[in-house]
Amino acid sequence: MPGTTSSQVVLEGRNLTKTFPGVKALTDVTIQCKSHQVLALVGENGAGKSTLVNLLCGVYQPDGGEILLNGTPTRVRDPHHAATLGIATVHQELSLLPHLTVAENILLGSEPAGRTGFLRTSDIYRRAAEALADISPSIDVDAMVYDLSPAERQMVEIAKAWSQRPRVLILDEPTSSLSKVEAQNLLSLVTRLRSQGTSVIFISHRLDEVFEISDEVMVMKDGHRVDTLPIGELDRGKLIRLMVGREMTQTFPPRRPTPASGRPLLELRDVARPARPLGTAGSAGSCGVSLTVYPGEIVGLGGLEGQGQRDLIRGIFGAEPFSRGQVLIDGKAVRIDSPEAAIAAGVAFIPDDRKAEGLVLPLSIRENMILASLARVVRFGFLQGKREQAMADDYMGKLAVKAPSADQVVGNLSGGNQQKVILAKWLLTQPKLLVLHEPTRGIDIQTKVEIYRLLRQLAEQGVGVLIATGDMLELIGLSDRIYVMYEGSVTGEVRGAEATEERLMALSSGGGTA
Amino acid sequence: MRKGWRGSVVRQARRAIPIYLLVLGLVAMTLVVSPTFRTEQNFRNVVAQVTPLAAVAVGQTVVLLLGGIDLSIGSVVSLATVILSFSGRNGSLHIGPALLLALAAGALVGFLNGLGVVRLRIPPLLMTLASMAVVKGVALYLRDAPGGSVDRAFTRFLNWHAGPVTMFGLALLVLYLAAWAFLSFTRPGRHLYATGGDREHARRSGVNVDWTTILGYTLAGLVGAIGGILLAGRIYSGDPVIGDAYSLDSVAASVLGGTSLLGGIGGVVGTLAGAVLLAMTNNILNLLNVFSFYQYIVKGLILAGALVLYHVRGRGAHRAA
Repeated sequence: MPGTTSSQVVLEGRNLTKTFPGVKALTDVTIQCKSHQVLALVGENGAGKSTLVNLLCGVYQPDGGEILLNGTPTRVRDPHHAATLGIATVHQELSLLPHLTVAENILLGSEPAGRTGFLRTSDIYRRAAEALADISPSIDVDAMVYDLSPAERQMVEIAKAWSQRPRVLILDEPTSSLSKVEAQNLLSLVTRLRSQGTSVIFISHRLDEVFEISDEVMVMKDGHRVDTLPIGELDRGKLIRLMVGREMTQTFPPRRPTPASGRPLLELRDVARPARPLGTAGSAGSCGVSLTVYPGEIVGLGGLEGQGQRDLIRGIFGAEPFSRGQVLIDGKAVRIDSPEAAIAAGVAFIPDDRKAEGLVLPLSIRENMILASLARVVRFGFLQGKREQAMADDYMGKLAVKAPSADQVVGNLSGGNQQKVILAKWLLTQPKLLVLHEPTRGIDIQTKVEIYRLLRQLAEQGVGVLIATGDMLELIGLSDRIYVMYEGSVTGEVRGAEATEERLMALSSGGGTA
Repeated sequence: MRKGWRGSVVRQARRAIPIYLLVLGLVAMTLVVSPTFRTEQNFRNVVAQVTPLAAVAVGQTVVLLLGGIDLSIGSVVSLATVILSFSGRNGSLHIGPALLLALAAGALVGFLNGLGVVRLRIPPLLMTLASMAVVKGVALYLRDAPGGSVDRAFTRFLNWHAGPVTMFGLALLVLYLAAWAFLSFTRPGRHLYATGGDREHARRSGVNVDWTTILGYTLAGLVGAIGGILLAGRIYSGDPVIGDAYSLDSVAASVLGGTSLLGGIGGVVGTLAGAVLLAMTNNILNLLNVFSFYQYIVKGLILAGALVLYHVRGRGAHRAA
């Protein structure tokens, strides 16, 4: 029912621009939210959807452009100010306080209090119950939030936003933690809110949902607005074509000429974690994942963010072990229940969060590089400084780490150089299989190219490389083979040479063909 | 669940159940073992012994709920006794101004602690460590050794009793009821829990986390001064170092009562039992003629035991969070 007669522009962002150190996240983007309408916001990872939303709800301030509320230029100071202006947001990461009750969370920050300063407890619970009644009446307002399931928390979060009776409701991937049934309830809720006049911005990677509930679709790519179209003028194929189509800007080393074969280095047979299926927290039924990596090849793991890639590679490294299925390394079934076991089996893992998981920031380059292979430099219980120094210097040169010496503290290096130190650290363990998660995120182009070249060299030496990345060009340019994940399972396997953005995007959004 | 008794109220009460069972068990055991413990005199004694610590621990709990800590609270206790010790015979202050001055000094120290934590972003541990030293210096400047005397009428008032009912006990009751009502039934109280639970989430919900933090530290300083005043009523004089132990003992009492050092979890209901447990342990071991070094060891073991208990119990909830 697009284009209801009474719809008018409530919130407008005009020519919004936002730059973060080193990245232009948003360039000259204009968005219009109308009452009685659902505007879907779609685009690849890193297209700028979240940045745009964060500008509209006051988390960030724009560097350029302006925000108009009912036609009046308005500065949205912070998220709370946004809420008082009638703009409520449900972010991807939930922001409930687990040790308060549902009602206390819903009314937090706007508790009704009497003249004496005492809370009107019964009012709090009544108003919370009213807000919940519209969203999910089965949730108990007296329950502690830590007792709720992820889906219930999502509903409480929406009730919290809804309790303000906003004119604009922004939902950032609200269905990603929900099962199909729960998602369906949410969609009908959104439809109901729209009929009451609310303007909804709906971000989702599930294109089915986009077609089901939106009136207009705004497509974003690389921080730009590609187009805004009424849903009636779109079909799945056209939408995907609008979302993709970036230019290859980096040079990738040549792929291996022939497909790798022989005995797989890594083989996953139907692995899963029944307690919480890969990726999606609330999905009903767990589907196992099977994949192989042969020696000497680079295998890419693609898909939109949060489709289970993270759980999968963390499972391979034993950080959060699988509870089902088999892991075979060199044809032998192994039990990897801890990172130690993974290292012993010849697996090295480079996490996406460099600072938190990959490096000890106050230690030097040398100390960080040697950390995972201390056994090689210890004799009679003592570290051998000379040997340590030689090994570190060797890799400083091999990887072209830009620092005056190996004694430099890692915390002072650039992101690219830090990533090289992490690579060196794991290469020193002489792994058979190298697993990388977003290895080039936030890294300058030159270092990216160096890392690509290095990975290819390793593959040529017979190492198996598994790389999970949300950067589609990287995925296509680097990989010999590509697996695409969607909602916790692999939806397709594509040869790197045959991969196109359209094909991968179709697989990434749940469609088998495009 | 009755209307009105919901959320944080129930939460506080539930968390405190084990510590109350422990205290009751200890009392029951001692009642059997020691005839002296059964006397009315000893009951009043226990109440008087527990009063300063229990009072101070209220302030500490408030700051711990914020996810902070107040190490200066012991120095504030000392300073309050020192200020009151100028109100006795030959003193330079009347009791009224002395009381006001002690309370104002405590609140000021707390306010400055809060300001340092919020505006200068000094970690609470360091901020209050610094103010602990400064306040102690001021107390020592005012009175370099224990001495002076507290207004007779005031001490007589504080030491009034009728049967087992004592003024110390009544004061403590009023303080705890006020703190409990504040934390459970007022906006700032709720915001304190939210700020300590997750500062950023609370801020995004429209809670003024900076103001809440400053308020929390100010209240802690104020309550610390109240603790000092009650203590002065017991020792009839001023002592510039008497409060030192209260800084950490009050943390121990709060934690024993189920308040988390990470903030956002706990409350004064448990703190009362925690303070009683600590004070009673001393009383009981004294009655049983146990050497004082054993008393320290026993206190330490109780604390460690309680922490293990809460850690094991709390793990599920934290996971889910």
